Amino acid sequence: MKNYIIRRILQMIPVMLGILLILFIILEMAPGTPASNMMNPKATPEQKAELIEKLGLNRPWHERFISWIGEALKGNLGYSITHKKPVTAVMKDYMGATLLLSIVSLAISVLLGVPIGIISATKQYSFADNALTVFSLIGISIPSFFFGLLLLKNFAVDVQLFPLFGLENPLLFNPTFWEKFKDISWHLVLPSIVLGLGSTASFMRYTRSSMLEVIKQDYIRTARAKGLKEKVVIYRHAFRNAAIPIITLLGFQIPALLSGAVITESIFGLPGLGKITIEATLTRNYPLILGINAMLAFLTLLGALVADILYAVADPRIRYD
Amino acid sequence: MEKLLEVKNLKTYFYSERGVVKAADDVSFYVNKGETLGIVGESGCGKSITSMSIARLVETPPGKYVGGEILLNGEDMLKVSDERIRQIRGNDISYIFQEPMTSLNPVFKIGRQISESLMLHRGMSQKEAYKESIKMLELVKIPNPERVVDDYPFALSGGMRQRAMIAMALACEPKLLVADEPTTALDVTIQAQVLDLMNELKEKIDASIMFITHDLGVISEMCDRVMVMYAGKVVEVATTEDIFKNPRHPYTIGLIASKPDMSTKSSRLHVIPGNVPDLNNLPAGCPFSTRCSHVMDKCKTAFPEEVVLDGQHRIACYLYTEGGSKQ
Repeated sequence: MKNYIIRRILQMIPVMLGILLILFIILEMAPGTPASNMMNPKATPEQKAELIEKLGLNRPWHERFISWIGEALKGNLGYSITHKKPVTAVMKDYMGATLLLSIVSLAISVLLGVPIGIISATKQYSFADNALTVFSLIGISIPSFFFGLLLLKNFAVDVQLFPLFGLENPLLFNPTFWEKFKDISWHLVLPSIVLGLGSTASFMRYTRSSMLEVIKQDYIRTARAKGLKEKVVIYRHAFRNAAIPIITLLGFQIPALLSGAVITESIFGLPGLGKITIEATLTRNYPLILGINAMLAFLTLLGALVADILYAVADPRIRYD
Repeated sequence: MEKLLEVKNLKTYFYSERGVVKAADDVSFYVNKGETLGIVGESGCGKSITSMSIARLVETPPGKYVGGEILLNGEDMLKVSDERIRQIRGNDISYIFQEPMTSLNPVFKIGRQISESLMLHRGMSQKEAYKESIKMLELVKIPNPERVVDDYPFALSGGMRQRAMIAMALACEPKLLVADEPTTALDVTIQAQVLDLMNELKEKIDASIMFITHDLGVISEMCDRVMVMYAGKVVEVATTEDIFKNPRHPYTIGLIASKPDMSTKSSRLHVIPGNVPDLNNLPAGCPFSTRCSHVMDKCKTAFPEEVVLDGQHRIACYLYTEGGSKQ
């Protein structure tokens, strides 16, 4: 097991380097430079060249790539050109909202999707199963920007149950921890429903088909023949086996949620990474774009690693390879 | 002889969009204490469904127990509560299934799978059950039981897995062991070892066995009596000796003649012409009438009543009348 984890972590290194290289090349190929956005359009070519040299952009891209990696390993992701602050500091300010939203949505979709999927599978073709299937198809097919606006119109404008935008109420002065917790939770209800809906539906469908597959297996009959209660048969014997493909889905859902969060944040005006990613792209803020994408890539790989470790925990056949 | 299990007119049907499949149709038989009853027949003749019905393991729906009684020590398995049938499963009636590769749960250790029954039916603690599991593995002659108890099924060979299955089935010393083609997936040498083991353990715990197979060689080695099934019906029941020496039903005669024999010089195997009828679309009357060389008009209208030829030999065929004479 230890060897397996170490091997998996070592495998992450070349993948991460590959992602960064591709990122760097794409940025290089994109038209415009940070300089074009910072300068007066009437500036002379000499002034332009001077600024480009000041920003270090006159060096060949592979040199810059290597020095960026070197600095990144020391924890320095460079300076955000527009914010005049270190990239790490900018990201720190905006990370929280995105992570919070993604984690809450992931928790909702697993805690809701998996049990519903099990029920759906054990009562295949019943009314409940059909109703849940319809619900999940709606959940998968409805676009988040539309669903988000629909919820805002109904529950923040017509019936003013939830706040319209933002993560915190700016009018709260010196809130206690509990007040702050309540306030943020309240602001997160609609965004996490929007972001979680699609993945809840995916988890549900995955769990259902995986459970249906497992319930037909011979060892489930063996478990019943032992005299085990139906609950034990389903939740212990069947689910332990059905969980294996669900864990794979979990690994896939983490990047999907992070990128979904970008859209959801802009609908609900949350101060998250989504907002600064768009800004950074428009201003060709190379260090910030690189920093954010590198971090998203790292989180995605981390998600895949966690999924692989859980995979080995659930399936002894992988552990012993 | 005391009867342990008596099945009377069992009807297990399957309802599908294509119609009703009568997988076990009016099946009656009994198993004596300490006896091994063999059930033979082609694939799809209802032998597995009959055996699974005993502990109500047929899934409902699509299956349904339409009628009959299954009496285990006088208690009707079809009428007892779900709670009671769970107490009986694994404790009084145990199963060994055909596929050792897929019948054990791949994500649990062997020891845990054996312990589960012991904890459930014997009220043992985890520790006691673990120790008992090692003993059971030793009993089924698995080498290094202390190590195997902590192995996962994928680490064992087919023969070893089937031994582990047997250990699991016998852990609570059941009164009736239902073995559904337990050796079909094993090669011949392993098969012989497993069969010897089953016979030995049966004596040890004084159980009865219902042995389902389509291998007549295994039947002759294992069983006291044999029941022959065809398309959901019981066509003949007799002692093993009788069945092989003096088969009466045209189907049984054909079945035994199909068995390759070292002593014949004929280079071709005997076959029963035709195919097993589609269970969705059975002929009226005797289901074997479409393939039978002795078919009469009445065979095509109604299934014959069972007749007793002598004490133990029973048959459902119009060719025979009560007492044994051939018509």
